[in-house]
Amino acid sequence: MTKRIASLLFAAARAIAPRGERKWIDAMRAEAGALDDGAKLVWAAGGLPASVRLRLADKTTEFATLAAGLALVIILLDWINPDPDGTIVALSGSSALLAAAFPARRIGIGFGFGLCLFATHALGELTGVRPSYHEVPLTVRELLEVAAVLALTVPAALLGARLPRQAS
Amino acid sequence: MPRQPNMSSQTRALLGALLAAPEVWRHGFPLARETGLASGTLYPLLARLESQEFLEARWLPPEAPGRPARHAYRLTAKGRALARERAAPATAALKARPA
Repeated sequence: MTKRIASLLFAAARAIAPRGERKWIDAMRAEAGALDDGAKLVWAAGGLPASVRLRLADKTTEFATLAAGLALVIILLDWINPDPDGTIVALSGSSALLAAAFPARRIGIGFGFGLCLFATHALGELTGVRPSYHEVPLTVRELLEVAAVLALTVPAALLGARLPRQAS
Repeated sequence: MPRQPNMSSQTRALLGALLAAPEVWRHGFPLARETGLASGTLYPLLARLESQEFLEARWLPPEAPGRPARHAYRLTAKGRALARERAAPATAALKARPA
């Protein structure tokens, strides 16, 4: 089980890290093969915040896209799922990961995600609609809500795409 | 043109650890224990120093059958010069913590 979790952590770190930074994750993973189970897990866990930090520091475009994508996932998750547990897990997990990658910005990250959660609840309360996958077809109101969510997130991604890339 | 290495306490501790045995190929885990650096701090640092040609790296064959090959590092001549100039004693620079 430990080996499997460590393997997943390395795979996630490799997927998140910028292409040019994946070599060190391979080296780190190879080193983990020489460690016992307890040390292996701690060793593997260290790569994830580092890869997130490198990914977010890599390009302004990708930071904006990632932030917008993350916000979209959380909003949709909270909106679709009437049970808030999944949302809270996703919210705290994402916040913890970002805060680990950017300790100096942890207050802003927590505030941003809290605001995101509040916005989705407010959206549900205002519209009185909490759609589920079983309810088809979507009503006009639900489609408007989807449009509202996209209107919140897509401009951020498009704006990010226009920002100049940082020199490497 | 590669930028100059960031001389953080972590970088100086790592250089100090590598300078202690400059001819020896060193693995990541012992370096992490020696310097107190977490894996997620150590490996990007090693990669950066390697890209700046202060370190050389290579895959070493497994020490026992069934074990994976491991990546190992040592200072280049340029890295040794930098380390002599800027290195800090590894254990003094950082608080020891599990890797």
